[in-house]
Amino acid sequence: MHKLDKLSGIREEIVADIPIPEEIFYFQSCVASNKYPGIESCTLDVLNKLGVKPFVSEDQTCCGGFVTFANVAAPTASMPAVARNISLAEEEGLDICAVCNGCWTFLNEFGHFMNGNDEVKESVNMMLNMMGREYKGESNIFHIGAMLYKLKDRIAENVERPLEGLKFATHYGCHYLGGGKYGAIDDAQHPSFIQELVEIMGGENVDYTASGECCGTGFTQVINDKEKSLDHSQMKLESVRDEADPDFVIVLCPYCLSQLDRMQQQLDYRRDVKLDIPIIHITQLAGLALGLPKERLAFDAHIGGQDRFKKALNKIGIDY
Amino acid sequence: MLEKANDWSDTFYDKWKPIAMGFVNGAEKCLQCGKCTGQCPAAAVNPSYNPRKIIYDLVNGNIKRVLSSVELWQCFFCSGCFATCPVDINFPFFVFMLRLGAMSQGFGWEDVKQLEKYAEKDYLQDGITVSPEERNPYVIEERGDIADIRQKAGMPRQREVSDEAIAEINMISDLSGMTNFMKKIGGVELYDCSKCTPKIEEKCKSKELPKKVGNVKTHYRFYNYGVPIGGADNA
Ligand code: SF4
Ligand code: SF4
Repeated sequence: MHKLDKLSGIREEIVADIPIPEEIFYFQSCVASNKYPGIESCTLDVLNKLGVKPFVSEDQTCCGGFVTFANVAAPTASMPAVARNISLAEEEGLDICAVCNGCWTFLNEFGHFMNGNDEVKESVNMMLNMMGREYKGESNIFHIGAMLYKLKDRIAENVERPLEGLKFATHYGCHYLGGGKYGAIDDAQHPSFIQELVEIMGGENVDYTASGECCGTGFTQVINDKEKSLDHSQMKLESVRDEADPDFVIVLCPYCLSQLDRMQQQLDYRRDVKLDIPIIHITQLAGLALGLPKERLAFDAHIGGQDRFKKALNKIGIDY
Repeated sequence: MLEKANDWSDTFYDKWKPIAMGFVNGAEKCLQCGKCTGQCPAAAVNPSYNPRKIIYDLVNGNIKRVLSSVELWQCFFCSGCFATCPVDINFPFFVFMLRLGAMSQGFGWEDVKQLEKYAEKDYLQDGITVSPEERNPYVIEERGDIADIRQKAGMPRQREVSDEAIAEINMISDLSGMTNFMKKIGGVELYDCSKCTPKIEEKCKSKELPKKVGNVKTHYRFYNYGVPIGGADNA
């Protein structure tokens, strides 16, 4: 097992700055809502169990990151959309908790940009005022992974279903550690906070060479240059299968989850590569340990790794 | 955006910086150390892709090579280069802004057109960019309707975004010129997998890019940075 104290590059000063609020604005993710609803139900339940009330708003739209980095929306179009979403949380006086690396970086980067650039902020507000909203730049944006790490003591107290006998590998995802080089709670090259959470929950960590690699979605490459995207995912997933052989791979980002999960079927269909690797989100990991019922975990929305899901879940007493 | 900048001019970058809204800065600090390229996932599968060279060309005014290249469109936007760069050059933002520049010169519209659908049919209509629909018949068969899974998990069958919110993002899109832009390039047809035949299946495995892009005149892009071999064997 890892000697985590030696490896850890966790930035305690950033963790210390994260407040433990009574209520938080839960920023819904497109992929989580429409492809992997288990992420959504687990986030709500896990936050509730840990004493943080999630606030959900129907006025919240997609963060707009995809259309922006697909070059369909110029920054002039996406900046007000970001400001609009953040202003919803500001109206309630809440901080934001994002479950997706993309939402997190996008809101953070564009939010910081507006905060540091009064001219842009003013013109954005001119547009928002027309719809009766205002962007002030007061709400902080936290990643659910960082929130869970901050709440690790409460998690330890609440573990109802220890994950004993299960092996976990990690995939942190580019846009939390890389894009958030200075805002993330962990080191971009040698992250370890998920491993620490897994240990708290009683699981065993396993490592593999390509753990720091991109999932392969390449943002839009999976649509524009699918073969190259598949090449990359194949390299990553084969490394997982051959070196770590985990029961679960934990991801921080629903988009990574979607890529690593769905490409298993594509790789089988197109290249005859056999993989059986369950990929789950960090909130689903917490959901497992905190004893959520299998309906709320919603693993039946996952495409790849179904046989392994069954075996692994049976080990900890879930009839799947 | 680039009309005023002279191709191959060594002052291009200086002229461009202010127009790029402060998103791109500090390229002149680049050490040409190559750390970015060494850890780059796009470079792992496309050996001719090289962020270090793109920065070099940008700073030295060799801009035509960058904008007309296929390589500019191969970045994964993973930010790995930013994470390892010793002088904090946020390269993915350069790519993002350079792609806008390339489009103003008539390059890369095929790629953007493929993505336009997600903005038009999903983001602006439902407020959610990733729709519950599945195009992959295997997924539909194995998993069933996502609404059923949501219901089983005790959630509404569909995530709702209020009409007001959708009206607001459409207003933003109209006011900021995004709607106009989308009209210019038009939507793109995606294959309907339920009507799949062996012939379509073959096509699907080696899908070509659409040739016409709305009424925008496009140019061919070139492999300006070397031999474009790559793939699984090199990954
Ligand atoms: S890592 Fe940074 S300094 Fe080094 S070549 Fe890349 S951009 Fe330049
Ligand atoms: S952001 Fe682009 S250039 Fe940078 S490492 Fe990722 S793929 Fe390579």
